[in-house]
Amino acid sequence: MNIRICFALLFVTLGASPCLAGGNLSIRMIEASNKTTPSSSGVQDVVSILEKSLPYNSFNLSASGTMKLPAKKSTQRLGGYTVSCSGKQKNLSIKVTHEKKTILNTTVNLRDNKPLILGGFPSENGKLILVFVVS
Amino acid sequence: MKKIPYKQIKQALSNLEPENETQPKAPMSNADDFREDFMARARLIVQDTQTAPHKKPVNTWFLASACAAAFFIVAGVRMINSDSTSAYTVIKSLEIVASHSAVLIMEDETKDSTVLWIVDMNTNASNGENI
Repeated sequence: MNIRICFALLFVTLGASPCLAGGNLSIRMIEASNKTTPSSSGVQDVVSILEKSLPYNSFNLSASGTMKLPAKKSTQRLGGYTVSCSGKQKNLSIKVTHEKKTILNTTVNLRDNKPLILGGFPSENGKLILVFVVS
Repeated sequence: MKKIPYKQIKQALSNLEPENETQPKAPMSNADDFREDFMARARLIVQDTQTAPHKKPVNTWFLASACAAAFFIVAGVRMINSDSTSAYTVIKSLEIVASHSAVLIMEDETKDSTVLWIVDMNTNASNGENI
């Protein structure tokens, strides 16, 4: 019996290690503007950060998507932008393209539930912001 | 050879002390007596009966040690791989291809978030910058 318990512990320990490294990456496209409309409900977790840091008072969710980590060149189309991700959470490569033109390339180490906000993309009403959160 | 009558033999045998196997004879006179005494003593010792083989505790300890070692190795690798110096998302590298005038990187303490803001970005023109 003891041997079986030890084997079970061994497999659980070894089996759990790769699971601990993965997660779901949510990507949101938010439009920042100075409209009088209140911010939409899909951005409540980051709206306080955005209001403090940026000269805009209205933030509305334009598009959103999710992908599994580690990513293998996963792509999400958000508005007119395409976001491609590859790699693990701790070394994630992000590429943003617009109309087949590369806008930026970055490599980040994402923390669980700590948002990464990439902003400044031009928009008709203001600016577009990409919010990355791993959960 | 002198013949001994049966009556004398019977009387002599009846005078002998009853031999007790559990009590060794003493004193010992020679090697045969010693051996007889030894065998008598050996018969007194209760021999262990054959029982089920003992479990080998060394296997349990070995596996328990292997589990502990595996746990600490996994924990150690995770500690080494994690950047424990920062609670924020870390931007390791950045290349902005589109033209822009400035890049701001801000960290918000309330939610440990990282904000990367590209000022005056023009997605139609290219002006690469590496950080």
